Amino acid sequence: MDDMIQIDNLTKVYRAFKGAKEVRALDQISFAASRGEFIGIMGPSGSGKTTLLNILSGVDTSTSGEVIIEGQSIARLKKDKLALFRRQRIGYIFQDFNLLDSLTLKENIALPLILDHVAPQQINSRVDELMQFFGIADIAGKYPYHVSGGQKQRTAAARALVTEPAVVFADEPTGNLDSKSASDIMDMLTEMNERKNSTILMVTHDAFAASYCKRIIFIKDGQISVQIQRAGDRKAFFDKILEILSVMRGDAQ
Amino acid sequence: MSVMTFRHIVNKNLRYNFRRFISYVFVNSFVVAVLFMYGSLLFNEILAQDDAMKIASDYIAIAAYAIILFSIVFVSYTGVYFVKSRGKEFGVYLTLGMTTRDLIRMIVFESLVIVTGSVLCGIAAGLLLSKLFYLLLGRVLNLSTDIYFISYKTFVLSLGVFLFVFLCNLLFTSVFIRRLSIVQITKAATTKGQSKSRPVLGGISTVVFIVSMWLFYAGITGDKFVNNLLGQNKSALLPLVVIVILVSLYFAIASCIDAVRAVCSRFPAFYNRHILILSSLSHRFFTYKVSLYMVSMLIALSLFFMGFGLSLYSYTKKTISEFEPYDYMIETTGSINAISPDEVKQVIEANGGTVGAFSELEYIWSESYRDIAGGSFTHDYKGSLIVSESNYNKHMGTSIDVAPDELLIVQNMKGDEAAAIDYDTTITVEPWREGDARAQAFSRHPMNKDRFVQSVGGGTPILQYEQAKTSSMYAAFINSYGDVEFASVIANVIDDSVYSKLEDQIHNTAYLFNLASGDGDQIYAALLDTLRKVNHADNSLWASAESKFGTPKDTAEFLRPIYKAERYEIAMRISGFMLFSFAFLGVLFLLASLVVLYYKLMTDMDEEKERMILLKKIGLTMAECKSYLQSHLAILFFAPMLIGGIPALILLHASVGFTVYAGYLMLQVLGLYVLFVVMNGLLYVSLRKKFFRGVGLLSE
Repeated sequence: MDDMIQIDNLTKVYRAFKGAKEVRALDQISFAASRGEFIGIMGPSGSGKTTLLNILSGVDTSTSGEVIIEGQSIARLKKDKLALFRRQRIGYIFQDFNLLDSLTLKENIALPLILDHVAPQQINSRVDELMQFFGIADIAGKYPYHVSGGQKQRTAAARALVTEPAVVFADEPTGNLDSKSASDIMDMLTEMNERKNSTILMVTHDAFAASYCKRIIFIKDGQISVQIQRAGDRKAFFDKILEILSVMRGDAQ
Repeated sequence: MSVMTFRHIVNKNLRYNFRRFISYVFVNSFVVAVLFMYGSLLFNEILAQDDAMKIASDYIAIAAYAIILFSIVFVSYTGVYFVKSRGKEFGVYLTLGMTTRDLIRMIVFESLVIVTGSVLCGIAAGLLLSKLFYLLLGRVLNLSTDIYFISYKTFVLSLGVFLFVFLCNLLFTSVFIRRLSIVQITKAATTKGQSKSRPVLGGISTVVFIVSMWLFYAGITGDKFVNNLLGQNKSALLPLVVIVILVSLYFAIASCIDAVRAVCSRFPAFYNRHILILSSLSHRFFTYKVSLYMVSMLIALSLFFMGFGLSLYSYTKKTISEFEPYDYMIETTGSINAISPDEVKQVIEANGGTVGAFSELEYIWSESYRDIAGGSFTHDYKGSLIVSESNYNKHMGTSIDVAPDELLIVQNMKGDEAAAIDYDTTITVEPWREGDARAQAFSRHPMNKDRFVQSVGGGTPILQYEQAKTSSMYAAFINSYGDVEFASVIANVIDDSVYSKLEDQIHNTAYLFNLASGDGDQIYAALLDTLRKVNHADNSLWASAESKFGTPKDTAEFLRPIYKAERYEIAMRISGFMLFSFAFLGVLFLLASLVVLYYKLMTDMDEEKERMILLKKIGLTMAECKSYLQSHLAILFFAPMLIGGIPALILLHASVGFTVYAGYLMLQVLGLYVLFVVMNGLLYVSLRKKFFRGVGLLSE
């Protein structure tokens, strides 16, 4: 089976305090993603998107159900093993970039490799290549507080890819960006997906960003409400997304 | 809903920032407490009456600079940090339309709360801690008298300095808020640690630091080249050198941090392994620099004061019997203490004692001058006696033979005999009073040897000896005189034929004897009584055993018989008090360094917490997070031990260089240093866990 990610009956129940009414953030969600897929996850606020991503990336734990990435059930991994797995097999792009202010852009990108004690030469060539790819080679020596949001997000994307992970998770990657930077970064993600055959799972509420995906899973009240597959051009897909979103909004009212 | 007023918002704000306020109030109360404790020593009227404090008070006054400087730097450092770290919050207020006036009013109100809290807690802590310190140190040093005393001046000092610094701080804050744009204020939180690196300035500072350390060391240890370089202004220039050392160290530390990173980046494998700590060091350069500097300085001061007190104490303990070789000494001169050896022995036996070794040493008062080869003509500050060779031999049981043109200088301070004799000696022989007056006149108006000899005139005998005919040795031949504890004395041993020509001069005799058995105190009291009668004096003579500074040496008051056990007690009490004062200052500085460390850890905790969340997301394992935090802590704790500890050790080495026991004293100081390091290590281990928990590493 070529499934990169496999999710079975994933459930997450929150209880704010003892005796409080429980909230089902995720309710028996199941789906799978195969290698080279570019999946968008959409849904209204509070639908459980971020919870899903947090569990997938091992930052949060599920109440029940299973997540298998590259044949590895992440719930069964010990804490440190999970950290290493995350570092080596999962790339993460955050809405707020999460770059270290004390490191240059280049060092930020190299950090996961540095932590794995990869030889400096190897790191150099790998990072240089990625910085070329993302068009940030000329600002390699700058610090995060010197560069724009778009440049920060490219750096974060390069960092997510540097370990050649099995899967890249993106959490609202365009959330903090202007429209030009947003379309730039989405172009890059698409290129990453196509040229490097990376598997990408992106959470977003931005229909424009979502239109770059190949498949979109809509979540509502912790359950999958609808899935659509892109066929044809982006413009048509974009319209389709808007249509579904408005239907979902209508349902809610 | 309650009415929303300005006061309401301020109150809310205070409550919201409670934790941050608490740690801010804590450090400020600490400064008040430190000032208070220092004041309790400085203005201690019980201690001030003690002779020991006359010597210690100079050092205590010097410590005032350090303590006040520390208060200023630390209060402003924490103040600036406190304001800047709240930049975002202030930015929001301003954006929402609060005027800078409102904001300043809010800060002033907060400050009032902080000042009140700090002053109350600080004074309470100061009272408590100082009482505790006096109790503990007094017990440890075995001080019999109760020396705890708090003057109103103590309150004035601690409150005055603190309020002054705090007001300045408030002024800075209002200027900061009024001058800067909203964006700049908001950004202050992320840029507060950054500052430019200045490699050239840093390099120069490092060189300046090393050179000035050397200058100071050489200046104190009496290096000829440096002393000629500093010349007459030595006493004015040395403090200047100290200031240069302090300032250059600050910039040198900064350049060190930079240099470490630059050097490490040459070795990519090493640099990569430590990239997080190295980058965080240079990124939060300013806060690191300031706290490393402060902690290092405080450690250096603490080590210096404690080490200095300790070496003074140990020196006294070690050398006391060399300066007091006999149980008793009675000096007779003219009609003062005119008593015969037999009468002395009778008194001893009448009081149930038996006499052990008993010796008489005849001597003549003199003043020694040195004509240093290729240098100047100077007066030797040591007490100078003339003793004939046969009198010396009889006293010491030796068989020294000195030719008429030869001089043997017998030193009673071990090590002084090793100093090279690079001078011709001129000795004036006249009654003590005249000789002393002449020496003082000479110090005011120095002249060369020929003019000096001319000025003495024919009435006063002058003895002159060439450098080549002069030799020197050590012997504990006399009990040192009581006016200054353990002043060193020299005996100029000369040929009998030369000595016989001085028969017109006043001859004095010292009876030096031991007790074979008997009650020493009772016998001493009886001796005093007998001698009072001999001197036709009442009990007011020699009523006090305390050292009398500046008593003329030809008076009965000065010629109080010396009783070793009594001198020992007094000397140990004096050095005990000194040790107390210095240890007190040392502990004060140590406490101050602890609180700087504490504050740094507290503020870092918040920043590191965010960093840890981020690093965990990137996929750092627990072990990696811990090792990063551990190096961070280790640098904070152990770098000051080197940066501050080593210069302090060097300075201590310079200050004990005068004695042959320098090695022994240095060993004790090193022991103290090791104790510092060990305590520091224990503190590091105990705070590490707290820090890990604080940044959220151990909570799960």
